[in-house]
Parts: sequence; C-alpha cells; structure tokens
Amino acid sequence: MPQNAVIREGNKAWEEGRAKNVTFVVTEDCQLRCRYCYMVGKNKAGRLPFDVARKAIDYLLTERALVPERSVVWDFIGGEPFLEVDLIDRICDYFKARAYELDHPWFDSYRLSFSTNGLLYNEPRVQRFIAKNRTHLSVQITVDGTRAKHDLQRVYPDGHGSYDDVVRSIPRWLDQFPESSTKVTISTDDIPHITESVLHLWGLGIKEVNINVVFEDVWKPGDDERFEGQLVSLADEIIRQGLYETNSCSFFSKTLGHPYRDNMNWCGAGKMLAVDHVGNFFPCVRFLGFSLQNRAPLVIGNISDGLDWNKLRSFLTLDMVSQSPAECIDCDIATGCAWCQGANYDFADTGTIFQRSTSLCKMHKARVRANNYYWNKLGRKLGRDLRAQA
Amino acid sequence: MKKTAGEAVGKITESERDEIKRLFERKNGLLELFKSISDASHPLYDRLVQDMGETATKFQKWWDGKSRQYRWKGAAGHHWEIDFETCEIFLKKDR
Amino acid sequence: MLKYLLVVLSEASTSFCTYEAKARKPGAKGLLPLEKLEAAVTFALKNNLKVNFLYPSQKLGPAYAALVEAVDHVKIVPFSARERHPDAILVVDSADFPAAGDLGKLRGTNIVFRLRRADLPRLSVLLGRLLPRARRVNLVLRDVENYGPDEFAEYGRQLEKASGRVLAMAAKKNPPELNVLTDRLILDKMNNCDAGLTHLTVAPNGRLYVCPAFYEACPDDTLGEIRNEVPIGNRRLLELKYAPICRICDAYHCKRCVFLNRKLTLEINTPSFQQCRVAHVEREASRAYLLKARERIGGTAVFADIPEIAYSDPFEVVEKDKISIAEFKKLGVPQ
Repeated sequence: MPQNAVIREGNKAWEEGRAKNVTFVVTEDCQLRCRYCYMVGKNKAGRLPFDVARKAIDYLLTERALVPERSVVWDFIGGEPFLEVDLIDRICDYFKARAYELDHPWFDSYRLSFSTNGLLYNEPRVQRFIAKNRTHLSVQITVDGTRAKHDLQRVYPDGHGSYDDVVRSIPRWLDQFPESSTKVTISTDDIPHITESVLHLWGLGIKEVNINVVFEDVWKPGDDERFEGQLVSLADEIIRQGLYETNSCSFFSKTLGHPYRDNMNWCGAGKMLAVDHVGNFFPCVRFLGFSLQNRAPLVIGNISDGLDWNKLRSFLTLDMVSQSPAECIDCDIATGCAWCQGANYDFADTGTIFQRSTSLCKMHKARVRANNYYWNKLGRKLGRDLRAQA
Repeated sequence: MKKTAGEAVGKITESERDEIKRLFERKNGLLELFKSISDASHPLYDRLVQDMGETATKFQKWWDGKSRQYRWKGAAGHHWEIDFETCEIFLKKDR
Repeated sequence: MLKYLLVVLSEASTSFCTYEAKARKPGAKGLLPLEKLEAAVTFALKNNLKVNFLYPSQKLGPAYAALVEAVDHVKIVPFSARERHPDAILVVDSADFPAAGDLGKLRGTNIVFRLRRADLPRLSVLLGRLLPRARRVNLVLRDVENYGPDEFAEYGRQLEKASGRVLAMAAKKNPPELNVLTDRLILDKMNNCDAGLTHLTVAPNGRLYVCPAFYEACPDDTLGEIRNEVPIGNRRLLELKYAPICRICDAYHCKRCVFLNRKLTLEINTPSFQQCRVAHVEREASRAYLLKARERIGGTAVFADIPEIAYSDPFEVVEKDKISIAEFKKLGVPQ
C-alpha cells in the first residue's frame, strides 16, 4: 500500500487567527428565501449607506491600539451582497485609498470576502469588480448539493428552486478561483441527500465542500442515525473511488472526536466585528436583529462612539468551561462539537452568551462514529494508522 | 491558495517567505489601487506611481537574488512560484 | 444557600448600595403592603434567614414595627432617621453630608457612606469625620460607571490619605474598619455581595428580586412571588466559578456587583473595567496600608502578604491565558 498517498485537507483560512474580520451587512435583501437561513427578517429597507461604511473604515484604520491586527478580511454579506456590488466597489476603493494614504499595514495585507448565492455572478458589474480586485478576493458560491437538495431549501419567494440559475455561474467561478470551496447546510430534511450531494459537488469541480449542520434545534428522533448512515455511505464512496486525494469534505477530520485538552472558545465572536446599515457594531453577524428569533440585538458600539470595550469583555474572556455543562467538559469525544455564540445567545434561558446549546449532541456523536469509520477504513487501505495522527 | 502542480526546486526560510509575501501583496495592492485612481489629478497618483515602480523593482530583485543564491533550476518558458504555506519554490510552465 | 433576606419597606427607602433609588415622596402609597411584609417575615422564619430591613426616612406604623421585630434582623436607615433607630446601620450620602453637630452624637456606629463622583476629592476629609464615630464604614461609590483614568488616580490619592487616618486610629482600642482598605487584610478568598446566591430582595411591590438594583432598573425583571422554590435562570453565572475574570482575581474585598456587571457588560458574571480598576486601586491601597502598618505599629503578622502585581485589571491576564480544565474543576470543590 502506498505510504505517501496524498490525502487532501481543507484549505486553511487566510492569515488564520491573525486577521481582523470585519463584516459589512450591505443589504438585508436577497433574491432567495432559503428555508434554513438564520436571517429570518429579510427586507429592502436595510441598506448600508456609503457614509456609514466610510466612518467604520476610518474608525478601524485610526484606532490602532484597539485594533492591532496586521491583516484584515472585509466580509461583505447580506442578504445577498452582490445586489449591492456598486456600493461594495465604492467601499473597497475607499478602504484601499485610505489605507494607502495612512500607510496602514492593512494595505499590504487584506482580503475581500464574499459568500454569495451566485445568481449575479456573471453580471457585468460583478465581473468588473472581480477583475478589479482579483488578487484580493475570496468568493464562495453556495451550491447546496444536488438539484434536489439545493432546491429543497434555496428557493425563490414563490418557492421554486434556484439550482439551475446558480450552477450557470460555476464554470466561470472555478476558472477564476480554482481552489474555491462551497458551503453546504444540513437541516433535518437534507439528511437523505448528503452522500449524493457531496459527490455531486466534487463532480462539478468544487474540490472543497464545507458542510455543516444547522445550530437550531430542528432535529427529529432518528435523525442522528440517518445522518450517520449517510456519512458512512459517503466514506465508503470516497475510499472506494480514491476521492480523498483531490477532494475534501469538512465532515471528516482527524481532529474530531477527542477529549478536550484546552479550554479555548473556538468561536470568533467578539474578535470579529459586524457593522449594520445604521452604523451599529456587533460581535458577529449572528447578533444582528434580523438574525435573532428570541433576543434583542447585542450592540457593542457604533461608528460615532466607537467600540464599547465593556461589552466585549465577556466575549474576549469567554471560554469553553464557563459555558458548557459538565457532561460536555468531560465528554470523551468532545472536539469538533460545534456551537455558535449567536445561536447560544438566541436560545439561552436568559440573555447570556454563557449557555452553550447542546441540541447538536446526538448529531455530533453520529458524526464522530462515521468519522472514526472513515479514518480507520482509509488507514487500512493506505497501510497507515491515520487515527493515531490526530 | 494551494498550488501543487509544477516541480519543487527549492525551499526558503520563513523570514524570506515573509519578505516576498509582503512584496507580493503590496505589488498586487498597488496595481489594484491604481485601477481606482488612474487619474493623474488624484492626490495619491504620483506617490502611487512611484511606489509601484519601486515595489516592482524590489520584487524582481528578490527573485533574481534568491534564485542565484539558491541556484534554483530554471527553464525557458517557465517561471517560479512560491507556496506561502510550505515555503517551497516550484518551477511551473508559463500559460 | 440563602442566608439573608433584604426587605425594602418602601418605594422611598434609602439606597444603601451603588444603585440610585428613584426620588419618591415618602407616603403610605409606596409602602410594602402589610400582608407582603408578613409573607416575607414568614419566609425568613421558615428558611432560617436573617433579615435586613431597608427603611425610608418616615416613621412606620406599629403593625410594621411588630412584624419587623418578629424576626432576627438588622435595620438599615437613612441618617435622618437615626434617632428613631439607635442601633441601626446608618446610610450617609456625600451629597447631603451631615453637619458636624449631627455626627458628634454618634459612637461606634456602623455606617454606609455613599460617595458621589463629584465629591471624590473630599473623600479623605469626609472619612476623617466619619471614622472617629464609627465601628465600621462601608464606602460605596455611587456612579463608578462614569469613572475614568482621572477618577482612578484621584481615588488612589484619596485612599492613601485616608489610610493615614486609619493608621493613626489603628493603635487605639477598637479601631474602626474601612471596608475598601481593611477588609482585604483579613480575607484569603472572595467575600462578595453574592446577591442571588446568599440573599434575595423583597421589593416594595412584594415580589422577589436578585437585589434592589434590579427592581429599581426594571420592576418587570422579577424572580416572582415569595414562595419556597425560587428558580433563577442560569443561576450558576452568579457563582465565582463561572466568572472568568473574577475567579483568578485576588481583590477579595470586591463586591462583584452583578447588577453593575449586567448593566455595563450585559453579562452578570463579567465586571466592567471600571469595577476592576476601582477594586485594584483599593487592593493597592490595602497593600500599601499593610506595609505601613507593619512598619509603624506591628501586630500585623496575622495578616497574609498582599503581593505586588503588574496589572490593574485581571482582564489583561484572562484575555491571554485561559484557566485550564483541570484548574476549573478544582474550583468550588472543598479543599
């Protein structure tokens, strides 16, 4: 068995952990009404004025003591960000010129990041923007799997699916950004489509599939078993066809399913920043009003007064042990069990970020079992103990 | 961006990597900024043009210097690329 | 485990802590209804609770007095009501500081001294007038959320001056205590307010609250009617173990005010930088006081050292270094 067989791993995030992530919510509008979207209050009114973005950029560029990171990722989201590509273009031009003028380190180390539904990708204005900023762009188009799976959730307001319109953008997108990934979301109804969807996406040429279950408690009895079955079936196909050499799927990871060794809070809420259309600052986009079902938005400052560092203290000192039940702290297969600070806040018994949601427990355990199966089986094929490397 | 195609011809140190990475990012940043302020009347224009020239020169000098120092294999119709993650230098065919 | 019950007898009751009681005219309308007071007293008797009654300046009727006397208690009264309640804890406010003549009659009194930010430059002088009359002075900073670098510096200077006064009295029999200066000397672990953990509050509307500040800020934010089981959502967040900044801190005298925590940081387990800085100004004053006391009067061998530290806010430590899982598990475990 080949000792030096390649196993493709997922790309690392650019400047991982070292870049300041700033998210501009450029619009609360979207052409779609994806059924699993956590942004439950889409509307046309919430549009980011250029002046608000400008003031936010000025604040972040001038407050070096408060924002010491040497790199920045400007995330543009919505709704659908490319609905406002002209605005985004203007904002980016402003940032570039201002950072250059101030001789700010961010001029030499920035990225412009987009997570888009892909419907406007071929539009001339979007393509002009891409050409203008090519080397600094990260563009992720969400293709949710097979047509059947994609159109289950990613629908227009009248309920019809968007798959056919989205995949028209894929060839050009992959030509322009060959190492791109896509994001796939799994809710209860999506489970039967997992295997087929991952293989389908790889077949389209999207080599990296970041696939995750939703954080909301939507799970029905038996979902964990069905989920596990799908992942085992996927594992079998990956190994049988040797797809592990050129493709990656985030469901399978060597670091998954071990006891906790450290006490880190892995969520970046608080270290990143989101800015809404009225200039309020948030620890993450999941704390904006239109992302929350049960709680008031959690504002941590604004473009006029700056960041309220008292409101950030809890985020910056939040750790795993302070928010997790004892069962989670002591769990033998804890690593990789994910949480979202915004979802935690939304679903907690009281308005706190210190209560971790455990609605994913069974799904995590199912994933760990399938993950173990995958690495053990792959290891047998390759003659290596892959589990031991975790 | 991962690029695994091409022949691995050498490896540099992390500080050399940081050096070229900064020059690479700056060169790209200046070029892309120029697309927004190519009007000569813009207050940043002169500084930008000069900076572009200087950075391009430093960039090329780095490659020239390191390729001589490390004696990387070269070939007509090929160029060198760096993998910023691994610090490896690859010889790749021109498109 | 609950040990105390705080009963606010009237809407016009004095504040004895950091919160501001809304200015209300004393009168019968704002009184805690008699049946609610009886329920509170009964609750205390059934649960072995000592009661702190918080009084208004007006005189209460005999029915109220009888209920108060039916349970083991302490009275906290505004300075103006001192003659009616000679053994009570008196609340003095810097905004309405008593005349020398009025203070002169006091001996060995327990005083809560609420200081307005504007009066910070007079702190040492005002303490100089209170300390000789007191067994203990509990200093409460009224508007600490408005404190900044200038106030922290001034507070430090004032405590340094005050510590000279306390030191001068320390050699005498029964020297007075000043919470922000002398408490830290005798503490080897956190001694906090513990609102919600060791005590609850009955507000003038007869309902339960974590403390009077929560009632004053939002009467709807109640724990409900007086009853045997009082659930508090995420109660563990009131405990030191679940406070990442506080659990590594040794400013043991700090009150860890959960109301200010929530008001300023939105989390009941996370203090603001103002609270931490103030607590560390006090800690440093205690440390300096201990060193001077050792030099001048001795007899301080019983007090543990207060080590010098390089930070003025434990957030600086916690942000970089998270407690380990093993260390966390040891917390709150009886040694």
